[in-house]
Amino acid sequence: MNRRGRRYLLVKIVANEAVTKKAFSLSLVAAVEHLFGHIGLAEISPQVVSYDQECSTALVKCSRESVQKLRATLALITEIENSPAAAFVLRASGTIRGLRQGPSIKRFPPIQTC
Amino acid sequence: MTKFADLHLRPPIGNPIAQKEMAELTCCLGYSLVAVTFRPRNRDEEVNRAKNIFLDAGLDVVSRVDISGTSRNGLLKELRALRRDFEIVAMEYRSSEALRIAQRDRRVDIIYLDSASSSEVFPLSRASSFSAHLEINLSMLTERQGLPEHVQIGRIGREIAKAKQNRFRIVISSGAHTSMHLRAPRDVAAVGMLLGLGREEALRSISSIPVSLVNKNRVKLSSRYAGENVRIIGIRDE
Repeated sequence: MNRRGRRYLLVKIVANEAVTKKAFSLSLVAAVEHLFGHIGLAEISPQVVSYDQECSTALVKCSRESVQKLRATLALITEIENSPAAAFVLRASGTIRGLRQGPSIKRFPPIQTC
Repeated sequence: MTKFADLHLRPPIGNPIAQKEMAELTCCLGYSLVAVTFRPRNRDEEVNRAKNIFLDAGLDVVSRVDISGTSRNGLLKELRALRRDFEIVAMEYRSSEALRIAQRDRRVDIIYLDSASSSEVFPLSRASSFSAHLEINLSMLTERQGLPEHVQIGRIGREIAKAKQNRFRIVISSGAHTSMHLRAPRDVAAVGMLLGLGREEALRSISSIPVSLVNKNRVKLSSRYAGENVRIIGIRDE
């Protein structure tokens, strides 16, 4: 049986207040649904695999064909739980191991959100 | 390696801390060329200080000025005054009369529509020269001040379709006033695809098209430029 192709994105979240995995996950699903509707949501099937609250980074997976749609959705996120926020895709890969290789995200500069 | 460019950064000119933050983030996101927007009345020292902040972050910087064409005479007057001082001259669409002139005038590099403008679409006519570029600013979608998002997406999609039909080159920029409105180049390209560009077109609109525009303008502003396809290679002493 063929496995469904997936892509994994490493996403840095910058927000006014600390964002929880649940809050980010809900915002992501709401943003995808807002832009592409229920059918788009089913097609993209975004899922937060893991979330590092200390670094504010999330590992998000989606279907391989819909990676551009997910990138566009993340680029258009401007609020999480009614406070200003932004999501930056740091890396994309076909495997979780591939994401962990590559430059460190500690270089990401601090950002003032207001 | 692809060289990515963001031709529309609008950092607060009097705030070096915010400029430094934007410069570091832009570099971290993978851009190598940025255009910093100044006002015609900005002093030389302010312009140089802002440019140095971006240069120190490891970016190639060009200066840009946004002029708002409200009438034919106003536009021509501003072009005469500013063209030699800035590497990129962009015109914000305010009136059809000024737009008609801007489309034909080689001194205007970029034409863009701001989110504060009305919901109408550009009355574009066929591009008469290779200098005609239409800019789509991501800030129209991320800095929601005017129209609802679905209206903006529809309007930008129609603009892109019309620009492609009229052989305009399309540039996608962030139009960011703060770091929060910057986005990674491939994310910007993904939004471009959402708005109706093909994958290759979207990538070109943030890489080769803006880079070639800047290179061409640098040649034009150099002391060796004498005219279209004419360059001074030396002066013989008699």
